[in-house]
Amino acid sequence: MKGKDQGVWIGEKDLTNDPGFIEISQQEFASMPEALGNAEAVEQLGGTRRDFLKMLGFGVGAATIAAGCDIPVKRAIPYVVKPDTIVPGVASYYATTFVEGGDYASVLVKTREGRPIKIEGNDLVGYGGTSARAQASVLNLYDTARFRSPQIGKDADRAETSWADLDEKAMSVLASSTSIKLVTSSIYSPSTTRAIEAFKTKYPSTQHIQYDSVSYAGLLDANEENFGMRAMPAYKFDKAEVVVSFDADFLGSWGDSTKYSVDFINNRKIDKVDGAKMSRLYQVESHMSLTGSNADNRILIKPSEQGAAIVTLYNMVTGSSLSAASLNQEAKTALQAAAQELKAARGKSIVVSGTNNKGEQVLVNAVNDYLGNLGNTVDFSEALMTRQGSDKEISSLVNEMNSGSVDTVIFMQVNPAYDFKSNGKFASGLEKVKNKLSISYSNDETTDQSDMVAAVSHYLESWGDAQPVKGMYTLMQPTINTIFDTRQAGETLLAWAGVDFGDSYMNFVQQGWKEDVFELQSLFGGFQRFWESALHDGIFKSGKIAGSVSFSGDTASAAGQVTKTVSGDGIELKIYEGHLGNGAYTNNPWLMEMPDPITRTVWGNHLAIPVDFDGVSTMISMNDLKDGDLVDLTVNGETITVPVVQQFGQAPGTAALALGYGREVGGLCAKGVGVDMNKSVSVNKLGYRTYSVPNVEISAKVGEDKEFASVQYHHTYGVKDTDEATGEMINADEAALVSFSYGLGSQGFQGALTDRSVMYYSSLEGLKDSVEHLNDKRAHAQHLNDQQIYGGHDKMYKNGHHWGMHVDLNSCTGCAACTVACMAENNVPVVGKREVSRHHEMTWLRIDRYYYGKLENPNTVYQPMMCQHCDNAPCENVCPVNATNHSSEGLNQMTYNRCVGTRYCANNCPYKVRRFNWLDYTTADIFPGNQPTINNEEIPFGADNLTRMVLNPDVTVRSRGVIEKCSFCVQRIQEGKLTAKKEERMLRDSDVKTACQTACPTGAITFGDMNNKNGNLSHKLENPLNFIVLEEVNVRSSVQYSMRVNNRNEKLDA
Amino acid sequence: MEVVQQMSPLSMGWCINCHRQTEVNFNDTYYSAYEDYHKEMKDGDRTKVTVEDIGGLECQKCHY
Repeated sequence: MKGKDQGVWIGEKDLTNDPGFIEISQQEFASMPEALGNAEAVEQLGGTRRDFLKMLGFGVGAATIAAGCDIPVKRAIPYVVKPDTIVPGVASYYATTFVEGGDYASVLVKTREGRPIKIEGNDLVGYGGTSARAQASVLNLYDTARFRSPQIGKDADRAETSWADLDEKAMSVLASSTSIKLVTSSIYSPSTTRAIEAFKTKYPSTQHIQYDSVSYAGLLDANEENFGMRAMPAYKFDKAEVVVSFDADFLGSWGDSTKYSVDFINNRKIDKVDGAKMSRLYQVESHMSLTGSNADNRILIKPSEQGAAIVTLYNMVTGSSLSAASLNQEAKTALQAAAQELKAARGKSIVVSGTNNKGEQVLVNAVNDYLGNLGNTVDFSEALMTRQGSDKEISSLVNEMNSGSVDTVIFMQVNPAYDFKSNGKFASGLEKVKNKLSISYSNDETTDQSDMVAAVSHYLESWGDAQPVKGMYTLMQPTINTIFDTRQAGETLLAWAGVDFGDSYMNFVQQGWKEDVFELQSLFGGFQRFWESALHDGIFKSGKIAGSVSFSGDTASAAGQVTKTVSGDGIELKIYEGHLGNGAYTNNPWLMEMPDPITRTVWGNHLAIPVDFDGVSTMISMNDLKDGDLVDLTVNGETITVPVVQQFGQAPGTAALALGYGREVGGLCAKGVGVDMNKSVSVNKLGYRTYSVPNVEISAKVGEDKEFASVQYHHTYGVKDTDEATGEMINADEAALVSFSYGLGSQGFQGALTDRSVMYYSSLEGLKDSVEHLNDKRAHAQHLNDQQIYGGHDKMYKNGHHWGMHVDLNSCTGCAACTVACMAENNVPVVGKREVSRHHEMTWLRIDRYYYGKLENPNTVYQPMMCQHCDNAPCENVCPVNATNHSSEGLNQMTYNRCVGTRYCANNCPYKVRRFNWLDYTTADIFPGNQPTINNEEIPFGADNLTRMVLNPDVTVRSRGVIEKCSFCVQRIQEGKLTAKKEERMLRDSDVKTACQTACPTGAITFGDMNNKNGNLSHKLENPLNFIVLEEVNVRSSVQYSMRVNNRNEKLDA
Repeated sequence: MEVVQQMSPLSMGWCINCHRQTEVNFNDTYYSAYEDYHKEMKDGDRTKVTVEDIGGLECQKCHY
């Protein structure tokens, strides 16, 4: 398809030089009511300004200090006899496992004074770094919506009770039940499995049903049929030269996405020009997923064309001629090219699909088999065990419930009333169940219906184990005593089964390891030493399982089961899993405030609609809708109102909307935010959940989301416009500069550099030319910079340390784990939707998303942007009170206590990375008289002792009126220097790792000492693809980025 | 009965003043990163390295 190569753009408004957008980018700070200090206006704002406070509920009346959560405020008890492991001021790290349904991560938990405050990755698993969800999980521990004790009764009758009381009632109910169903998510924990077995022994009528919140049943059933294993294989993306993905968001939320990201990026790092190689990813999808945005080529299809696409590829690769439904011509041509490349890379390619249609997965398996990928890049000897759910089993449960034959149901940490609505059949069935028990963490749609609730502990308070990958066992250990009166799920099951495990659940876990795991190793002779070593490491690898698998399946009948293309002009809706999962993470304000990597929207799901190119110069969106417009979306007869976002790269005639929002029961952060798409997920005739709906209707604009927030349009720089006076291209965000005229007419804007170097990109083939071009531009900028009048301070920086950072744009997938890690580490406040819509977001690190290339099917690049710690900083010399200055080690220092809130520095920053505390988001202001009483809340958000436990004591909590920004984790720098001094050795780069660096699984961010020639950073600084953002402005930034390279098959664009 | 007295002002000025005067243990291998100072010590241009010289008076060394 012919399309213009448009350069780089951030969105539709940028491309079309939308006048409203230009106007906004001319003012750094969007208008805000001058209500501060005006009591009446504050009152009026009260409900809306503190909207998020209400929404979060982290401080609504009930947040009184519960028994067991006693943090003495007035009494300070010194350690007369210091506990062995706790040194006040020094953190202890514990290795444990983050498990939430099918998501798992091996983590190290940083605890201070006995409470966990930060999650880091455990690199003994083979890679460091974590996902955004794992980073945010520590805040969930301090969720004020969690159950603090077991509960009995429903609705108004629900009351707290004791464990003895609950156990007695539960056991009598279970003893008298004839049909017990235990519904859980995928269980891959050996100890939980044993606990369930013990439970089944006591209650033989129990049936254990596993299902996943987002279904993988099609894939699992296909693998069982073809390979005899009901598990996902390990996909070795680092060994694959060609990857074809049919709607599998493996870098985002599909499968073991963190590990896939690590492996995938390992095959795409470029640090030299000659002989540079990288893999090629073809993503076949309708909406722009995270993986799609990192793909080299995207092949656009409608969701219903998925079946035809897979059959077509199968035919092209294997030479068969199974009948395929219709597929658009461009996709066919593209798949032809993909097939050629796959055949040329036998054994070194991967075909993967995220579809839940078993027939399609069988064909994908057949293609991988034909290409010789089995045992090489698609490896069952390290099978992934984190998804084992069965749609068929949960569907039959729903049918049995509706027929009235189910006595008792126990829901263990699942929420089918939300994520398995099954067209309303679940709710109707649940009413007919006599006894409903829940083992759950906080109140949700399912637990709301239950008669008894066994409050569950958080994973950070629990003992446990897991076998997420065959041959790898991980342990879970508590990092804090149970804060409230809760028990682990396994403990509850054992209690009801009448099994005694001694004083701690650890005994039960240990017993299992003694019996089953100890024998798998030979390094330790005694169990106790093995146990302690495994507990210390968090991981034990027993080795791959032996044997190989071979494919056996009926491809012809599989082809008959694939999705049939829906003909006609109806719009097809794709329902996908975004970064928020499907319900488990909705009550996490950090994840709600983390902008969606692609749409860059927050606090809600937005309907992604396609943007069409008129062939000449204009982009037209469906129904002429603009970002933030509200539309009526009619799906299967039901209409909901959703805000819209224009999405480049969305297949024409399709739309997409994320799961995980629109909770009806949940913490106040989750309730009512966004719309619930689980209602539209139907179960097809073959029994599998289907995540796309044909023939939906999208109305024209019916309103506007007044609080629509897409942070991509905030803090802009490099937005171009045409100067009316001179007709020249200028930067819109420099319009405040004095216009220069000699009386002969305006000479235009003084000093406005229009050709901003924000982002460089290249194709793999054109790499040499691109690097030459880059060098030319850099030489030009450096030549200009060398003409500066004032000498620099280079001599001073060469003495001692000079901190710098390198960000590899080729490694950044946009997962945003770093942004959540930064919020966790630096006590960055959450401000809520309304404040974000007013450009008041507080995240220190943002990930700018730029599109480039062809307008209808662009490539994407993610650029993490934080304070660049400029050695010639424009922010430092304009502070009237000298609150920000430069250290001798190259850090731009922000002194919060000096800052009076002029915001001149934020205005001057060319990267727009400084954040101002417009309001007292953290209630750090210690005078209660200064806090207005909102809704009769005595303790506003952030002031309640439970939520405050997550604060990092090493970092100041900022109050209203001060500017804050990335500090290069100066607390970690000081700690690292102190460690080196005490150990009497040179500082190594590995001593100081910033939060964003440790969170990033792919190693995109490297921090270090520029003066250390042997360090990690110096090595990265030698990359020929490096550039400095806005180098021509001569701010002497300390952060270098390396060019984004993609391996796009340009022939497909012709 | 013990009586507790405040012996030092514990003000910021008190901290800063001591940092201006106190010498750093420059023999610690960690300080070999400060090559210029080592050179100056050798050449005789410098007799001591105080905390101030290694940036001890900078704001964010304490206020973070």
